[in-house]
Amino acid sequence: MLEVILISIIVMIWICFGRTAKWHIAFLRPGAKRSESPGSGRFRCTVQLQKEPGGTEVFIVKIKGRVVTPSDMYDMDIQVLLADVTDGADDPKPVLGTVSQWQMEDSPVFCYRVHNGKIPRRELRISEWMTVATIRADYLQFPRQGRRKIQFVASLISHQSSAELVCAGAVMDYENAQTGYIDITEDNNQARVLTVRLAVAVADSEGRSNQAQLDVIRQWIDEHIMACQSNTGKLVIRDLLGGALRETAELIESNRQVDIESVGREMARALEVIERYNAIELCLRIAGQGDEISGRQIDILRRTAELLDIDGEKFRAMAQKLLPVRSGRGDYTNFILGITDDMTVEDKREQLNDEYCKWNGRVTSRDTTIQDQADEMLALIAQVRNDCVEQPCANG
Amino acid sequence: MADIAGIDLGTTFSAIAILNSIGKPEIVPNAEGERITPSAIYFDEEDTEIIRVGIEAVNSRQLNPDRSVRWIKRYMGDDEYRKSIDDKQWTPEELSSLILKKLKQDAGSEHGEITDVVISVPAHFDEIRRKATMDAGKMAGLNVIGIVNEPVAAALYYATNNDVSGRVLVYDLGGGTFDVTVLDIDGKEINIICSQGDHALGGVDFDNKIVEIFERSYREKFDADLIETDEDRAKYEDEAEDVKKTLSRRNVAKKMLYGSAGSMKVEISREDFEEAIGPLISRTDMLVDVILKEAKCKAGDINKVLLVGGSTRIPTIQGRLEEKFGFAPEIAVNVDECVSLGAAIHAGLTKLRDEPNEVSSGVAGGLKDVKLTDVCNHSYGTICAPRDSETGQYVIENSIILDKNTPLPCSKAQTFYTMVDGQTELQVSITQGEDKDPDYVNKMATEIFELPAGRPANRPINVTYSYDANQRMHCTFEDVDSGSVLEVEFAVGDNGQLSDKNVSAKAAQLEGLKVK
Ligand SMILES: Nc1ncnc2c1ncn2[C@@H]1O[C@H](COP(=O)(O)OP(=O)(O)OP(=O)(O)O)[C@@H](O)[C@H]1O
Ligand SMILES: [Mg+2]
Repeated sequence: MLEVILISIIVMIWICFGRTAKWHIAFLRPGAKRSESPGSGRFRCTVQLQKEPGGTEVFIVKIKGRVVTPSDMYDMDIQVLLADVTDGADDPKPVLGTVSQWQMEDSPVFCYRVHNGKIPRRELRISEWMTVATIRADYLQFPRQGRRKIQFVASLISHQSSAELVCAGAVMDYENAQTGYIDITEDNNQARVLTVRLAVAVADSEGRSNQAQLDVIRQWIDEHIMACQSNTGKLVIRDLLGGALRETAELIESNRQVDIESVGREMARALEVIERYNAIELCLRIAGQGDEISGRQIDILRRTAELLDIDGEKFRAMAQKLLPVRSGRGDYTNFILGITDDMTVEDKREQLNDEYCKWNGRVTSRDTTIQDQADEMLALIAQVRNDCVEQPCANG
Repeated sequence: MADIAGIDLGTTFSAIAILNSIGKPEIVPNAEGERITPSAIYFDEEDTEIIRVGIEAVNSRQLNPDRSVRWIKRYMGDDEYRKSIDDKQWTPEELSSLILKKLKQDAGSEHGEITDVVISVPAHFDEIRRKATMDAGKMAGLNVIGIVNEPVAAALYYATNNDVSGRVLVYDLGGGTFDVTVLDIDGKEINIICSQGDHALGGVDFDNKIVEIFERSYREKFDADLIETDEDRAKYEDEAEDVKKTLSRRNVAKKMLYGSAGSMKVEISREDFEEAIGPLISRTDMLVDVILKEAKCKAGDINKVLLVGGSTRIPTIQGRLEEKFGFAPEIAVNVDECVSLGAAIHAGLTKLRDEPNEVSSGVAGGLKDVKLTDVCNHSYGTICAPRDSETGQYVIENSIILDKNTPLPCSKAQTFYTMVDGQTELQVSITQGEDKDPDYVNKMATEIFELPAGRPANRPINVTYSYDANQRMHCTFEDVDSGSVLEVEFAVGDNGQLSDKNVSAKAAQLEGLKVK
């Protein structure tokens, strides 16, 4: 999660201020033809992709050519930086490092730098390709999934001052199988839009939503706006989610329904586990604000939890916490108490006993809200058990 | 030597018993000659100095329900409950102390002054309610040397007066509470296995169901309300109890209902009553199922079912138990008295353990073979933040250290780890309750434990909880690296709102009041 936030911040910075950012300059350097020397002695760089025995992909970075240092016994570092230039050399995007050792000091941007040691004489000639870095692909995070053009820039720099002596670049095509960080942010925003849509659908499932329910959704949107670090980001999210809220409400007003199945599936694909839990919690909160919970609402909630792959017991614990105890309907009662159609009478008794034991332990809570809730729960459980005995659990 | 006594402070009836010269418990009748005293209080209107407790209070109640108090045990430990009489706001502890004062006073006029007592409480009472009960005793001028669970007291009396061995289920359905305890008895050796209770299940709830039938019948006939005032309610509550008791003997009970729209006769059959209390009976059934599961046994493993409490006289209760266990339950010699009798034995045992020189040789001899092993009534834990395996997030969780039903004395330890680099303090909470979700457990104490600076995360903290036979709990939090230790100690519910000083001050205030 922390990584996702960091990456989102980076991407936001990149969207807003990318062109002036410090690291950006580095990617433009190879084109500057600064330290080239004529003829075959030109400093060059090449990259090969290899698969290691375990299946890990590695980039092998090699250099060759002539290097002139300011003095004998000059102490040098080797540095390799990467940029994604799929959208053109004038629109490079950073490649991030997933291991802190290979990140820039103040950002998660990938940076490989190792100490080379002292070079005896001022002029160094490397005549054969020499490997200077082996970079594991799983230590990198690219902006997007799929076919990418990656630029590698190898440079030799002063160990003391970090002044660059030479640098050279190489570009290679790479098929990235992983989800990119821009994909994730887009997915995140898309996921939030979907969550809002779903929330409105839950609120409106009976053709009307009350003010309290809309307030819950607005508050949720506000929390997401607040959580965004940059002002631009805040605006983007506000427009996005506010728009989603409006559109969905209009959709429902015009008597068309939100397609829970496709929204749910899309969310399952795009959302992290914790966000899926947050989404279902939002839906339960909204349902809890309603005057009464309808059968349709229960179906929506249940189906959504299923689509979002929410653990059944955790879902019910959340429902017990966030939904009112009584709603008068048999199917709702069964849902709240965890009774399902495929249970035998004995199973149902066991389930009711467990629920009774749980709520009986909560009834002495110091918190009067919990006390009242527990009292109501116990009365409900007793009623269901009583019906169970009289007509062998016919109601459920 | 002063008498050692046991008190059953019941929701509807209370009783006091003392240990005689050979260590046998005996009920001490009250000033009216009754062996049990209604737990009812009435503040006299004419003479505001006089507070009536017992049968007189019951009789006066219908005259002015505003000045009457019943079922105060249901509010024990509730810091929001106040009964306003004239200019005074009475707390549940103070009101209970008036009942205790009457018991002490009446018993004292027959014997020497009573000071050392054990008071019984429902097994499911939490620390706060236990502490409130002790405070009530202190306010009444008693030296409360211990608290015993009601079913345990009943079992103590039963085991010391009968030749029994095997696994026993004590079924205590009283006026306001319901407790079930499973225990093993071997001669005079008693090992408690576990207890469960329902705080809102007892005779008064059955009475209320009958009041509902009265109201419904009246409404059906006259389309009007039967009960319009508190006086009406008080009256019909008494009538309902009467009907309930009649239905334990007969198949039908009849009552006249006098409302403002006219009067009518209502006939309630045993079936009507059983149907009305169906959900309540279901709760008793579930609690029995729950305790058998907790005791890891089946109905067939129980050798004896012992009935305690006035409400076990209801035939359907006895019938259902017989059906469940396959044999008739045993009716304790006196369902209303055995708790106070057992509490007196418990007081003797406590005194023998803590101050053996203060106990006469006769009493010591009478109790010499009795051995009781009790268990923790609740689970105790602490709040921690493990990582959820599914979401990968830290979640705040209650982690149980000392499990419910661990035999006393006991001690359990667990290791926890600091969460972040450079963590210099740890908020330690001591909780009571069975839930993982911290919202659902009660916090008994929260303290800050200072840790050395400049350390990485994941430093071990050893947490040890111990509980002794005097129901005193001791908690230590030890920072393993530095060896520094935080200790927290509780006697039964030290965390109540009243400090001991306050209790003494209240006791002094109440001393001047006349209780009749
Ligand atoms: N014959 C009977 N049939 C039904 N109920 C009865 C009968 N006799 C007494 N009771 C009920 O028993 C209850 C009193 O029982 P008991 O004295 O054991 O309770 P308590 O000790 O005051 O309450 P608790 O233990 O719950 O605090 C009252 O509600 C009373 O109506
Ligand atoms: Mg009792």
